[in-house]
Amino acid sequence: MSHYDPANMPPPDPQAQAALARKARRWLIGLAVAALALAIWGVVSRRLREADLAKLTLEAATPTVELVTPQVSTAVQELILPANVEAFYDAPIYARVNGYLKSWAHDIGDRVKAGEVLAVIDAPDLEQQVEQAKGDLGLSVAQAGLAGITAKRWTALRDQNAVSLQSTDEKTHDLTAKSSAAVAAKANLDRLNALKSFLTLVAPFDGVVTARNTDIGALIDAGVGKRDLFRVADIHAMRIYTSVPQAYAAKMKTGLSARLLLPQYPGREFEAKVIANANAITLNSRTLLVQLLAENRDGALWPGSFGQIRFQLPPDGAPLSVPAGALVFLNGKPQVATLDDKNRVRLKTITIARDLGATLEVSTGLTPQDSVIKSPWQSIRDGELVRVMDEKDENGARGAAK
Amino acid sequence: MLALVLIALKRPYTFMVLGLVILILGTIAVLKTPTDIFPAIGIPVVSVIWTYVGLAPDDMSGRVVYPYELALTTLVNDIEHIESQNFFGYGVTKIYFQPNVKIDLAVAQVSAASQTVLKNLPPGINPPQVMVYNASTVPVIQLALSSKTRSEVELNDTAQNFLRPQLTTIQGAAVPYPYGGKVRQVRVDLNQEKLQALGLQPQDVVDTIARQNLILPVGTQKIGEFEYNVLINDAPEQIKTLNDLPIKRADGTIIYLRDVSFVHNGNPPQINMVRVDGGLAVLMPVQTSGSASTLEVIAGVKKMLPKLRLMLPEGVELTVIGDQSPFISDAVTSVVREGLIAATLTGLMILLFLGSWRSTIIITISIPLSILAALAALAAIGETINVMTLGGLSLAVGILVDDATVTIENVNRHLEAGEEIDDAIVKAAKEIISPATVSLFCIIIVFAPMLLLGGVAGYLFRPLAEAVVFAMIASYILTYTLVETMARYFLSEQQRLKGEEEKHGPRPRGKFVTTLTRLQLAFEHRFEALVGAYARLLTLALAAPRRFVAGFMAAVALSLCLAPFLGRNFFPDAESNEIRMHVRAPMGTRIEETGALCDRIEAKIREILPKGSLSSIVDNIGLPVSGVNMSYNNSGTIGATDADIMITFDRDRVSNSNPMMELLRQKLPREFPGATFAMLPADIVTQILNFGLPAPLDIQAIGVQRAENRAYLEKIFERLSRVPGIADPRIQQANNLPTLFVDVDRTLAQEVGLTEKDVTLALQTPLAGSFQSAPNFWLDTRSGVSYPLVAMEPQYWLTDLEALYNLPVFTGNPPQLLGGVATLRRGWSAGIVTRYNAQPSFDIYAGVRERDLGGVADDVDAILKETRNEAPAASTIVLRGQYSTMHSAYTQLFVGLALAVLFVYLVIVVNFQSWLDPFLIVCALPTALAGIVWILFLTGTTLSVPALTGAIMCMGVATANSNLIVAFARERLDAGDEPIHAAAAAGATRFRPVLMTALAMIIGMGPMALSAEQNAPLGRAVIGGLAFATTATLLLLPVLISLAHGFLARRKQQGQADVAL
Repeated sequence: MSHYDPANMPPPDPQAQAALARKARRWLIGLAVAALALAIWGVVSRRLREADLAKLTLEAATPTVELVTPQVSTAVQELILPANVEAFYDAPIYARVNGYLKSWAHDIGDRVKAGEVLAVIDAPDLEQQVEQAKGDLGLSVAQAGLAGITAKRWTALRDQNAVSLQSTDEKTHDLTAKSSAAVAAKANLDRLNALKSFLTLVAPFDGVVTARNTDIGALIDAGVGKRDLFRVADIHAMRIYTSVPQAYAAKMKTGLSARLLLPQYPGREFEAKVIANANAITLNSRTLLVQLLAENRDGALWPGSFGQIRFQLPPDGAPLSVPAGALVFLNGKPQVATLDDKNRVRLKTITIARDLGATLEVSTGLTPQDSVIKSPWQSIRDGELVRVMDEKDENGARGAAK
Repeated sequence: MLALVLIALKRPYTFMVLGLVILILGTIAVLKTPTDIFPAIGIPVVSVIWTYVGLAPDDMSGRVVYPYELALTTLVNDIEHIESQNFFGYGVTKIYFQPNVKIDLAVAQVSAASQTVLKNLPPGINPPQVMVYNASTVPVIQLALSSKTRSEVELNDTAQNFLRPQLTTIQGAAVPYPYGGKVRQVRVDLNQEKLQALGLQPQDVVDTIARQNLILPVGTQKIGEFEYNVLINDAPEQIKTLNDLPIKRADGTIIYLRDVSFVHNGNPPQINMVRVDGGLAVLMPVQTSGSASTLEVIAGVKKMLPKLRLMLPEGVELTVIGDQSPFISDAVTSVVREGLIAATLTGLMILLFLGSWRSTIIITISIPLSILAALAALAAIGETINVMTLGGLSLAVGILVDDATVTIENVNRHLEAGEEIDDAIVKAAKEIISPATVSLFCIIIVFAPMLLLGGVAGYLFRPLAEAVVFAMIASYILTYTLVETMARYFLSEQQRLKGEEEKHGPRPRGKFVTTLTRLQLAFEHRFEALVGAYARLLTLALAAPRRFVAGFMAAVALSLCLAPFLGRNFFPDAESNEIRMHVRAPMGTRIEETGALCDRIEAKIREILPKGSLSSIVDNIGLPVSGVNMSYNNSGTIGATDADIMITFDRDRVSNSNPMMELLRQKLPREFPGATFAMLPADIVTQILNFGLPAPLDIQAIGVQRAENRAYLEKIFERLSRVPGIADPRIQQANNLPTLFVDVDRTLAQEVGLTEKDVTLALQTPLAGSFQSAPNFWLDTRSGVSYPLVAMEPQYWLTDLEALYNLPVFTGNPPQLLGGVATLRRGWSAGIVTRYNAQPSFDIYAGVRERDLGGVADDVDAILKETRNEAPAASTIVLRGQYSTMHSAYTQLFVGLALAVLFVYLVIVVNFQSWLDPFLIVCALPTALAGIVWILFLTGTTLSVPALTGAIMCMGVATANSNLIVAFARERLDAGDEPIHAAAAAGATRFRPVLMTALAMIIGMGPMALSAEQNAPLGRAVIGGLAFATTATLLLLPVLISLAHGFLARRKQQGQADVAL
């Protein structure tokens, strides 16, 4: 323990004191110089680092972009609509005579020729009606013959003024009436005979039996509103009907090609062409009925099918297309960001002709020479400096992959 | 206190027992107290999660969250502010409360408020999920499920329905929904073609499911002596039987569900994908909740792993990634190790100074006891053991010894003067007690501002200050109790032996001891020489006082000029062996494409980074499937275009990922144009400090003029991105989400018998699914898990724009397509809508690279101020994030420090009963600041809150030391010495204790200063500050005393002379 006591201290020696002071001063100066040097070193190294950092930050602030060039679009837009497939001709076969089905010759799915018998109806009452009519005809002919003889006689008698004019006229007109009755009876017989021919049901045209709604022994009730007995469809080609929304109606020109897809043939497409449209928009659905024709050589298309018709809507002219992701919406106008030769962003306002989902067809505002930024960022602005992605690297990587 | 000393002597067992009690309680506290990286940040936040499948962010914001926020402001008390984020289908509102709120009441009020608005919200919306949220909650361990043979659906199902419920039973574990995989659902794949063909609407299918699959109990029937449970087959048990549900009767046949759709086990369109090292996986993060110990939670999870593995289906692997426990235990053990080294070094130093192993033992026993007592006290007030409290304790080690040392030294002095042991102890205590009390007060007072810190900084640093204060108080009490008791035994023995030696000559001693004794004697000799040199130097300074003081002050002032070059951070950078990178693909990119992009990025990363340095890469792509996870997300993910890539390095090869991060930051953006990259903090510390934000800087524009605010931010974005040191600036609120607007011609629709509602419904079921409007479930009776039953058109059938045009809106005759009644318009919409206090807000997030946060933030602030008039006047433009926390912490600390100095001054005024002497002490304090500036400047350390804490500590210790000098000088002055002699004597006499205190502190801080831990700046600041402050105490202060008292004496003499005249 050092207890300092000024009284015990030796009196300060002026000379030693001065020497000490000099020594202290030297130390002090050395210390100050060292401190200054350290301070300068510290500040300068910090400044240098800051300058480096500023450069680095500036570099980081320059976005890198990938470029695409607009392509001439050949894409077709598809309009997909539900469609009904119907036969080229479709005839329901009804009975014209009442009776019972005696026999049928063709079942559903059978291919038939025109005039081929489909079925025979047994109508015994019709035979009796013919017999009755025949009798009626005989009676009428006989009556007419008698009336003719009578009239002849009365006419001759009249010439002799043997009978009155009145009675003569009665007899001659009776002949006319009776003759007419005979003609009527004849016609009735003919009608019944014709009906007899309806006892055999025949195919009206070449086609396929698509329905058979009767069977042997079935009661046949002729007349409108009753059930059809057979259905025959001509399916060498099919008519396809679809209701096209008014928005697309103008594009439904005759000859427009389309593809038909059916649930039963996944992956198979049938060619179809527009052959007619109704030229009128249906009031309650605001759609245009369009008729298409599809060849059906192998008979794969069946009438009554539900299908999807895909219209191939061609582009108007040959517009340029850009990826949808290149679109920029600033100030509410569609724009794309292009690059000028100084690597600065130039925003160009474009007109979108058609939106194809993944790509856009641009009708105005773009040339095939433009370099379009593929993925513009949200705050992109005119004149911004960017760096184009290093293509070499990409190629190198590809080369390595090969 | 003196009474205590008497008890210590008269009833010595009392305090031995006290020592034992402290030992036991302290040990219990150490074992029982949860161990964590940081103190719990208890800022009360309630998170409210709204879900509505398919609702656009704009609608979620305007139609759900905004009405709710309005209700909140009227129905809930103590709201500090409200933030909300609205994603596609989710709305997350976070309500930040005042610190004094009762969180249970808050939750109740928040829930009640949601009920009041529910009826006014979109039909079919469910009440929100309400949960207490803690922004400092980060995943502490993650479990990854992967498989080569099992589907992603199975992985997710296993994680969600089987593993997750088990994990939640671990005490303190909070397990959000799993990330990645495909959520199992029973899907009804609608076939539009078939529906059209049969003239059915999607709605018919939905109605059929609702009518045919119900959960209605029928009851019981009593027959005879039994009561039978009556069960009806109202809910099909097999999924395939659902296919056989009849829809309607037509043309004599029954149309079944299978005719128009297909019911099967499946999943909704994936929105979240996780890949571990390129393989698809499911990730289950485990977080800590409440006051649980992170280490215990991790240990609990690990203990459960074998059991969990048994539950896995065959072929599924469970791996552990992102285990934070090594990091935490490293941090904790390194602080403990530093503390131990510090204590050992200090002990050795004392041994060297005192030359008595008995005295040293007394002192070194008091150190751990003080620390144990402090730990027990910390545990009692509910603090965890963490880096902060341990840091506070190691900080305290240096000064803890001081009290005991001074006491023992004084006792020794009295013993050497030949006093009896009891008398010596009492006298010594009497002499020391008042300066010791004053130093205690000084140190407690300088730490008071830290106790009053608010916000995140407060929660972080308050425990540190508490630790210091508790340890100081404990040490103070122990010094006058246990130390005195031990002194009585040990020192009297020492005195007796010494007396014997004097009589009979030296005792025989071992060679080792002799060497040590010689060493100590040599040290004493050198020290005497040092004292002599010091005395001469002091005399020199006293000879030219004015020049000396002026020179000294000038040097200090010049040194302080270096301060602006230091830079300011909130907290020093933590080293991490991970990189977390946020990638945003061009807006609207579908998840499959984002996944593919991540694939390419991963390949590039592996190419860029040194071979073999990587341990694993985990991608988390897209939006988590649950709003709960959204709530905890701190990476800024807004949808399927976003991905978080976590790169973990091999710990042995790369311990600091920063250089790698810089490499990626430079290379990746050039390789992947269109994608935005942002480096997120990977370490748990920075994540906690960012408090839920993905970046330390958040430039926010708030106000109802949305377009103008956005335009303003976009305008300044270019300037901001050129601020040196700013990293990954990005506008968070993407507003360029590609959107197809369906414009239904209402008149045309009406003409064909359709309303907007028909068209909307016809679109909703195929595109969004039926779950939101008609929820239905299917129960898997085998596992007992209930799965949603959802009708929707498979997304892979709707692949082009035509498919949307061609969606049937009416399937009768004739059918109507969407394209017939509506036009499609391409446009952009918001990908996320955020609100701050119910007003729309926009953010630019930015990080910092190779520069201090304060510097970057100042530059940003300058730009904001300069361009303020370009933003709408009514809007609020603010800089938030870690920076604002830092700013408030700095302000509070500086103001607090100034106040602390004032209070310390007042305390010393009371002590010395003088205005002047304390003033002299305060005059010497800036020297400490100069020392801090120098050491930080030279070591390239930025200013940070730990460094400021060090500054505070320096103030306390420097004041305590200065007290000693002034007290002695005053004694001598009172004894009638000349001021110049009194000053010289004070310096010389107090040289030893002052140097000892300072050295103890400096040595104690040495290990901390040299470490790479986040408390290193604290250690460095204390070392630099104390080295300079001690110089000031020993040289400047005596000179100042001599000057001031000399002046007073001369004036007095002059006055007397005047009177004499």
